[in-house]
Amino acid sequence: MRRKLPARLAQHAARTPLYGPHAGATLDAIPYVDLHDLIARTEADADPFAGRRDPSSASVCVLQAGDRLPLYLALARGDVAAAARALASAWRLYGIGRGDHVLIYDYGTSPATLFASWSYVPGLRAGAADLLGAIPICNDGLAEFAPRALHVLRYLRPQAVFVGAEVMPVFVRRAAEEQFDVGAHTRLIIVSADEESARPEDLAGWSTALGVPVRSMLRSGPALFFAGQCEAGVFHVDPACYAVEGVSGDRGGGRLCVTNLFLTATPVIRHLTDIVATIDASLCACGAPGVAVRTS
Amino acid sequence: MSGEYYDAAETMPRERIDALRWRRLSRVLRYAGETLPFYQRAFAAAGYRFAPVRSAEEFAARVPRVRKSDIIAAIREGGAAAVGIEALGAHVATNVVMTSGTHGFNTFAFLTRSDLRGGNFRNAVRELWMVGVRPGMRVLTLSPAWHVLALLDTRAITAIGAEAVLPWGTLAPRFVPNFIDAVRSLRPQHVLVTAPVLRGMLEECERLGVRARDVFRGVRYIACAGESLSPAFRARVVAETGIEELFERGGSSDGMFGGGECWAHRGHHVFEDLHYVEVVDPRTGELLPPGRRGSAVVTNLTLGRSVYVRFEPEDVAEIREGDCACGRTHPVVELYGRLSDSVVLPDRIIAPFDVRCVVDEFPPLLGQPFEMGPLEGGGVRVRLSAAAPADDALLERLDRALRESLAVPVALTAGEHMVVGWKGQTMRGRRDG
Repeated sequence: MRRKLPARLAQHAARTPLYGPHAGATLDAIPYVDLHDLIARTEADADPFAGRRDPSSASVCVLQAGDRLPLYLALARGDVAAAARALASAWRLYGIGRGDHVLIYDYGTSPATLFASWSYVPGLRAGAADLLGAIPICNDGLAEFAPRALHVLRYLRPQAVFVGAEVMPVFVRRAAEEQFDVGAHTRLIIVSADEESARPEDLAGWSTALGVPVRSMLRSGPALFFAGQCEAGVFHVDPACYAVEGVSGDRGGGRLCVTNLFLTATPVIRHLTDIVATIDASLCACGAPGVAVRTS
Repeated sequence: MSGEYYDAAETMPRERIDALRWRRLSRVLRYAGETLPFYQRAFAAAGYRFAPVRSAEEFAARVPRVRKSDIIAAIREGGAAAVGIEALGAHVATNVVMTSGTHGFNTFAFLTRSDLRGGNFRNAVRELWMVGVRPGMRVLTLSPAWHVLALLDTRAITAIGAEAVLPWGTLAPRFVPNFIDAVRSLRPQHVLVTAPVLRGMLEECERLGVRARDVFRGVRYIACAGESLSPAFRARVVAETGIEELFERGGSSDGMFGGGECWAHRGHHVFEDLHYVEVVDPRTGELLPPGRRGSAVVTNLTLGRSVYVRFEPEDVAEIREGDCACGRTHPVVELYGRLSDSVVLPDRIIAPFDVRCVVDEFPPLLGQPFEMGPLEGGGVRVRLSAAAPADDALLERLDRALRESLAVPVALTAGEHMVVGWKGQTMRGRRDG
């Protein structure tokens, strides 16, 4: 099937060095680009945006795409607002709503944190929490802050807790050391890593250890991609924000490919993530909207 | 929003500031006494009943001081983050932030959209303007979103219309390579960091074998928070990076106040339409005049947030005497470090900043970790880290310089193994001292 790029995205993409040569092409005709390709391009062209920057689009902020990555995304004011809506769409899967406190145990510059609040990133009027009426608190993402995360749980009793995957083992161990009953202080833990999906057996083990349901959230820094996971274990991708493809063969290896439909200052088209996943054409049993993606 | 000042309130006549300060102080006191359970209890315990404030002496004499330990005790007792200092009024909380937890216990503050667009925000936007942030400027910053100043910087950068560059991570040494990469790749004109990260960036330049001047090419200003900067460190930063000016930022997540330096570099401008800062003798609580070091006591003058009334963040401070050459009419407060890290002598307070200034005068020791505490029988004990490259001759010269500068007996030792905190801060004194 030949799919057209949305007109607005096509206009911005046409002005970038990376996608410009493919101006007018259908989505399917644009080559996949993965992180290695992007890094190689940043080095070869001395371009921190790897050829994805539309110079005509004014940006309010520039984000580093991940730890130790020489890759950046410039975001226009509208991009920042849309990223917050995309994150809110993921948060809805976790039942986060009005008046809920949400603890984020991740770095303030993680996309999972940045777009949570209008006060975390410049140029934003309403973050995911604001859109849902929730109240966020960030703990930052260092392993040393596991005791502080438990401290927040003890005294704020957040309804949901997002934890960066790299600190989850420390968080679980610390809770055990303190004999802290996490399940008595929150109703849900959500683990997220950049371009990775937590393994179901890890989620189950953490859930048993903490006495609380533990789910995952998919995200990709280089693509500003978020997808929440429903109770049935299926990730739901908001089709208003992203077009996703499962890519097989030598190049894809079953990886998830993301086209970000809202970014304008740094268009992202057919970004091949490291997330191995399949797209399920059938409706998810949970009834939640969005494209169903399974990672196991 | 033009010229040297962000808004006209920064240069309002002193008599207008005085009137505004007492009016707002009275409003906050009335609100606290009538509405906020924490202060109702504190005021009742001290026998204080609301009356309009007419003078600094009257305010200091009548209104009780609140300490961190009081807030901590209230959290523990109530088992909840909210302790009855949350002056939200009709507003809904949009954010919760934490204090830095210097007592080993983080307290919580609740913020509303009203505050993040109003009182606290005005303080932040004036401060960033003061340290040189301008519309269209590319500003490297970072949002460790647990800290109120990060939220305020975000709002202020938005309001000024600067473009923010956000490297990945947090303000910890292990993320210094990300800061370096962002500065080299994106060439910001302004950099907002902490002193340990800035120190780490200079060390990383050395490690990489690149000139800091090349890395920081295009950076005009750096504004640095986290600790008081010694003159030697300031000079080193300017010389090595080639920037036009280094500014110090100061304040406290406890009490939620702060202020930047202007180009006169005399201390931190604290805007008295937003915060009222007193300096008191830490032993007696006596109000100290400008020019005397003591313990800072802050009262927030706007509502719509967790509000701190006569709150002692336990920072050593001094209100500077005289007018500031920059033309701002609000007080200038110099901050010297944590009270718990300092040595309180009968006639004065020796803060880590005083020792840091002397240590940094010796180039091999610049920025090296040390600990300090009281010396039995009077004076100061200083322990240099094992990491400090100090031979006997250097130690002897440092010992002499410390004695001359501090004018008290000094016991200097070296080769101590020290624990460096996650922020890389290394100039904490020992609490057991």
